[in-house]
Amino acid sequence: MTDPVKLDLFLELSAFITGFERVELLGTGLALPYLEVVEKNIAPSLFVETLHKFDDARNDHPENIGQIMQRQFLAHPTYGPLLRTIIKLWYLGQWDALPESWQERFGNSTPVSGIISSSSYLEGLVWKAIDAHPMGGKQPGFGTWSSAPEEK
Amino acid sequence: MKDRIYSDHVVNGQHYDVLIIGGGMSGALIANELRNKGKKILVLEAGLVEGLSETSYQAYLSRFYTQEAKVPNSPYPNNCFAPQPNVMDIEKILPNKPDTKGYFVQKGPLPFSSTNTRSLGGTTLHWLGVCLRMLPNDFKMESCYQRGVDWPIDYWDLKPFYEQAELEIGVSADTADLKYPGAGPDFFGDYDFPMHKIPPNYLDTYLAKQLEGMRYIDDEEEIDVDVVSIPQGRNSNPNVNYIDPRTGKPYVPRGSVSDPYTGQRCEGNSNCIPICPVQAKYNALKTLQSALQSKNVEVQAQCVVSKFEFDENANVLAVRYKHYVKAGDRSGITEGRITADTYVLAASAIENAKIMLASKAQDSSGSLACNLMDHPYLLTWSLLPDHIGPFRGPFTSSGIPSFRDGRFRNKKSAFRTDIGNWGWNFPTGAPYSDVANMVDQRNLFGKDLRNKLHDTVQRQMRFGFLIEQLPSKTNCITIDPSYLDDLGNFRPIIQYDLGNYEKAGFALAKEFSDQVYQRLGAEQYTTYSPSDPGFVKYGQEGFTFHGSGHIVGTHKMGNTKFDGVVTPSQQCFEHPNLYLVGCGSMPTIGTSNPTLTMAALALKTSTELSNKLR
Repeated sequence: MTDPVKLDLFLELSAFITGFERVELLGTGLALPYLEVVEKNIAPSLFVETLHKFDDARNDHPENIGQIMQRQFLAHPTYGPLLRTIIKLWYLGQWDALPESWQERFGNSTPVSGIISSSSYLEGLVWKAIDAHPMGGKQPGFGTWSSAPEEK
Repeated sequence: MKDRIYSDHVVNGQHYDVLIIGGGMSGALIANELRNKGKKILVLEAGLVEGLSETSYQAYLSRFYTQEAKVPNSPYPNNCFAPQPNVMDIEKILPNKPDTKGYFVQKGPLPFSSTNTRSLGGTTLHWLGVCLRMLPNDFKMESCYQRGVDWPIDYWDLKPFYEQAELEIGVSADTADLKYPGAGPDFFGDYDFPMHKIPPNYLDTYLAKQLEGMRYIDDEEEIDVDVVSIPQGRNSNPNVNYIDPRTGKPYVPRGSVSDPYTGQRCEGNSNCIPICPVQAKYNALKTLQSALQSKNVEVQAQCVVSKFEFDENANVLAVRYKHYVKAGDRSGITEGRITADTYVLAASAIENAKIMLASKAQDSSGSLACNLMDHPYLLTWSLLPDHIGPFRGPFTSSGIPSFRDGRFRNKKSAFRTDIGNWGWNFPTGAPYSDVANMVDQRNLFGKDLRNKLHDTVQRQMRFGFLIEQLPSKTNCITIDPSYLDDLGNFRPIIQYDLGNYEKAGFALAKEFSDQVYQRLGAEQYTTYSPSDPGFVKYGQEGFTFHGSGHIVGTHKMGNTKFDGVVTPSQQCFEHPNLYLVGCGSMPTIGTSNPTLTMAALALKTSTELSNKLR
């Protein structure tokens, strides 16, 4: 069974780095499958460490969490590649294999890569980000393409 | 209907009135037109029977979803016993070293980058659906421009068959909107299409407004620039004034083959290539389904023809083929032989040529397996100052036909411009590549990433230019026993190059594109790199072309056996009970996507066969 605290932290971290609300991430139906993908690919200790470090940072310095994310996480040689891969997982529904040297040191022994499933492709956040629909899915209907895009 | 579609090998040794080789569009059209003549017809398909049931069509779609490279053949599995080309195999060709990575053996010097699909329904499974007629001058390039050759028929000979093809495909367009150079008022006459035009994309309307009154001007040309909607083989609102001659009733759009109520309109899936999820886009499975309503028509799948046997009068005596039980399973292969009164080879321009070469067919014209053509496809791309809502609706809904004909054709290629609706998907792999770039290179995350992606992709536009390629004897298919596929059939060896005529067309298209982007105040991002497989130099400039999927010209029609392989009805001059049908029969390519012309030619052949079989 999945540890609810771990899932909760994974969602909080994912929401922060993707720019989507937690409820939008849950709405994809893929939070659990993605958590599994991450766990298949990286060493459990590193994942737990990353989640807790993020949790501490946002609790200790809520006003500065953006800069901390940039400098202490994304610019970090261990956390950075992992977090960028998680962003792409949510946006594209696909796990990009991490560099070999990284994988050797921090990876798990059962890595998976590529597009996770049909629904991971269809639920890719990129389509929402660009105000479109996944190509080949979630059809918007006849003639919908004629209207001007909505300005935000 | 299912009773007459065979995967198991049941037809060996049989005799048919008409044997059609290839279950793609031409074969399907001919089977369908002849279905009520009381003649026994067999369609032999090299690939598998897939796509007719909802489950198997959905399997294509699921495969597409999970493929990282969403290329034209990505939904359709490669079958090593009926292999098909894949654009992922295209590489730069090194001198004196044929590229053998994919199914085609590419001798170059340039790669032939177009692909076809070998499965029931053929390449209409992944075609775009653009249904443009060729223009009157496209049929007389030699007389008008001293380039290429004239056809033995003209536009007016083909016009009634174009109308018939537009009905069978179900084409959506409004004639009042359609304006082409050199077309004249009688081009359509008082004709109407079965359905109204596909609604224009927002980008079309935006460009039409921005480009209103634009004239392209250079040292030699002054051309009015028009944004014009494109006739499409996808379902739209029926034209209430159009009475279907087959039923005498108003036209009803034809939906998916597994559920007629699905796909009665284009639903904006933004995925015409490689697969329309609802089959609002025409595919040949629809025509095959109609043909199979008749007990006279049978389909035998998993049979790959290797060659013809000829008798002493050069008529075809039989076809030789191999049947397989399962792709890759050598133990299930059996050889077979079928005879027929009339043979129709409809296996695609490249496979047709290959089978004729393997059969050591006669050819006094010297043009069999030569004159391979495509529309070399040039892309340009830019960021507009405004958001235009890309990645919604069909691949393209309008184009700029202004350069499809003109005096310049005596010096450089005509071309058709399509306005892409899917941002930079074709040139850069957007929006996937934008995510990777913004995350990995531009170090964006969170709300900034989301907002930047939105702003960037919303401003992406691209043009595609389909450049007319002239026929050339040295662009050809050959065979060699050292290159065989897993079933022991020849792999096509392709020799392909472009001349200065086409390259001058690239330069004209690029110059035109630059002027449009300047007028729009767009930031241009077009780049062509010498490392691109399709990179060509022209003077100081370099261009990268792609394939359009328009495989044309390997058995051109002519007036006599000395200037063509087939008659205007696609009957083989030298093997009279054999018809070679498809885009291979076209002497020139013009600037129209060739499927509609191919369909019109197949219907012309059907009319001749109908009369003969009476």
